[in-house]
Amino acid sequence: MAELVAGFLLPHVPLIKSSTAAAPAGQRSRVFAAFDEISALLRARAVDTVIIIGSDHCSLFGSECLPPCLIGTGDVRGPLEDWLGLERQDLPSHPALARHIIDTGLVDGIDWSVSRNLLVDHAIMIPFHYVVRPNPGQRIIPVYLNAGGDPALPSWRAARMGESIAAAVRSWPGDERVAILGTGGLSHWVGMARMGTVNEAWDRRIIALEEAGDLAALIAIADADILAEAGNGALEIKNHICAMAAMPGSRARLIAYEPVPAWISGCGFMELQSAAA
Amino acid sequence: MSIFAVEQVMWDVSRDGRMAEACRTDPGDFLAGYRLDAQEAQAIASLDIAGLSAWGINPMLLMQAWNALVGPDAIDEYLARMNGAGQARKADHG
Repeated sequence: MAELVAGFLLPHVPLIKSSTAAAPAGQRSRVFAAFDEISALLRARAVDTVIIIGSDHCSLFGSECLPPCLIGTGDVRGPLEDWLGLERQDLPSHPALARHIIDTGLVDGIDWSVSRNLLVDHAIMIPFHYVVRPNPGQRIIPVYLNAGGDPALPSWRAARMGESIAAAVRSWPGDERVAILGTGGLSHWVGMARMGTVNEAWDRRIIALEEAGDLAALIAIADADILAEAGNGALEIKNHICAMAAMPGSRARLIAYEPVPAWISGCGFMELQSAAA
Repeated sequence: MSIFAVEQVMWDVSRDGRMAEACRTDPGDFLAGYRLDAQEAQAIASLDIAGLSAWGINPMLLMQAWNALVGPDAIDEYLARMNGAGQARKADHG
């Protein structure tokens, strides 16, 4: 039986890689230290499979097709963006477990969309580059939840998807040690008039809820309120909700938080600690 | 004659460099291939960012199209236009 042994919440801001020097040196140092800590913990927990929950930014999915939720079940490449500062490459994937998550979802009432040849954007690529790539042998399962397009996935559905993912991991007959990453956020406005501002007060309210493990309160925050206070990018806390729901009873331990206007985002790094921890 | 055709243009130019180039080179000719009314075509051709945003175009899609047509180095201009008055009508746009 596979086991979900670790969970983390972290940003996937592309400017961290494409405009590294734009941020003050002290903040850069603390952000990279946070990435390094997560990568080290993945190693220490002997994780071999990392489920990365991200969201598109009208790069993969636009006007023609907007899947509410999607899993890469075959080959995975990235990044899509030629400005990210990373060479396009094949990413190590786990098609069999990804397919098992799909099949479990169909029983659970989750109609996952599927990509058998997925070209990922920075939402998957940034976490992969900074926390998975340093650990040879770790494979990823990329998951996209629609937080950027209208209609956005309801947060309660994101939680249901997290529960289904966890059930799939538990019922997988292999002995994989799995981690789940809820990526994105915190406050940021993408393509909007307030792009470049960070709402640190809002970010710290969300962090406090995650530290308390108050999933219900996070789910209850209306999308309209998130949009007004923290920007369209902050809807990515749905990915956090998904990861937290996969580890019921977990509370987040704050690793680092940096408000970085130069990277247009509040960057929060948390470890999800299970109730038994 | 709806937001959907505008979105299609945004999506096409942001995904296909050749289409972005065609739109830059001869926007009138390029946009004639879409079901756009005169005001919509003008808003796109002039990159009336505030107006297009007011019509409800996804800001992420709008920025992707801007980056494809003008370039990511001009993001300050994008934001200046986003914060300026829109030329296009602000009424509900179905």
